[in-house]
Amino acid sequence: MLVLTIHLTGCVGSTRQTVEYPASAPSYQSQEEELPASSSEIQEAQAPHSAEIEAPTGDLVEIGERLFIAQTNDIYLNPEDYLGKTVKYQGIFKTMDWEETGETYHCVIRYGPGCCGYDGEAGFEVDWAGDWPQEDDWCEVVGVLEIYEQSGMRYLRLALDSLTVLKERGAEFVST
Amino acid sequence: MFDVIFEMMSYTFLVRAVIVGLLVSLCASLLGVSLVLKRYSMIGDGLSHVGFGALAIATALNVAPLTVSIPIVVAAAFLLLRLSESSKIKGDAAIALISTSSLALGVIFISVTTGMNTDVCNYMFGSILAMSRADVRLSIVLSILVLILFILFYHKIFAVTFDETFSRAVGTKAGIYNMLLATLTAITIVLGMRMMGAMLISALIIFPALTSMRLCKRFQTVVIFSAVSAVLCFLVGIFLSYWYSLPTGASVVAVNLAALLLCSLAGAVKGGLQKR
Repeated sequence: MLVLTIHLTGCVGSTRQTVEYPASAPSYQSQEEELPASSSEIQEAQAPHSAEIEAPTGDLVEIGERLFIAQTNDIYLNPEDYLGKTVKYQGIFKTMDWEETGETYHCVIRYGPGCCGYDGEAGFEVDWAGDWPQEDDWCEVVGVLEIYEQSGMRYLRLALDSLTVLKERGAEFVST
Repeated sequence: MFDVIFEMMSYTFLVRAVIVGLLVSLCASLLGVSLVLKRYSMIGDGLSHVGFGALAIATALNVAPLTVSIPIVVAAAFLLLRLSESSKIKGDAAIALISTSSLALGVIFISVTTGMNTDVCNYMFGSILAMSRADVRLSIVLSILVLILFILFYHKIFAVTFDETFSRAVGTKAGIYNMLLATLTAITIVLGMRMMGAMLISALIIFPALTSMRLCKRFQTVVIFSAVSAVLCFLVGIFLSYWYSLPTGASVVAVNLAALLLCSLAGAVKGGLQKR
């Protein structure tokens, strides 16, 4: 099952809780059936990609500010249309500590409508070989969308080709 | 403006949203004429609350929402009709009874299982831009089915809408066609909830019919104008929602409201000119 991370910090006691995503009406079962099952497309949690900055290859999917949540949702709902493509977007760098595994996960997200106001987060987990930025830094990331498997679950993430910290911040809160 | 439209159509999820939205708007507008004339305007609201309850339960149980909610909402539509036909509980009370009960049960079920989350909130206000391919296929198939059945049984639906008593007197099985109308409405409501949300879907049913009735008098022209109005309002609404980053469902309703006001004004002017 494809599991995304959305934090409902306003609605639940724990500040970090993994619930199923996408936030909007999913068909989990059909989504599960449509996920690629070949071993070549499912990567185990492995060493991150090269830290060298490389030009994006293949189709470029640029997630803009106008339809940030809609584009993000579409990638989660229809991952087969985006796997292997290069995704580029800007957002806030966040880390999450997963209590069950004791691991730290890194994401680039923006705040969006959740259950109570803007307590939802939309974005992707990222995988990067270089130095991580500071928490809450505004970053532009470019990477290839991939699925990896961990503890029997499959997750989407971006294997980054570049991560750039920007001084000028974009819209941290998005509604569409 | 054309640049913006081309830019919109470069997003596959927007293209899917437009296709599904146009079909659902068309279905809702056609059925809405009969429902408004039969004074069943709020049935859309009632069934959408039932649909919300069903979708909430399906989400909590992690099963495909549409395949669970469609039969439940169809059953609710039948129940509504049966209740209304009884002498004890009439139309509006029956709608209120079923809709509030379903909503309450759905909220309770959600609160003791997964808790209120973004999925459930999206069912309330719509999320047409987030549809899987399977949902799009199902929506297209069901919308086309609704349209075909409406066209096939147009004359019978017209008869039971205009004068149900006379229809029964001449041997028309009005009960069956009322049930057909309820079933088609239920399917349209469930499909429309994805894009408009449970709170706003009834607007798609009511507004186009009321808008066309400001200007048109014959049933056929009302139906045609209602369909055209619904399609145009949806396209304008989704364009404006993209341009101004507004919620799609609410934008479509706002455009429908503007169209109603415009046509009301035009109707008043037309009526004034005719009196002279």
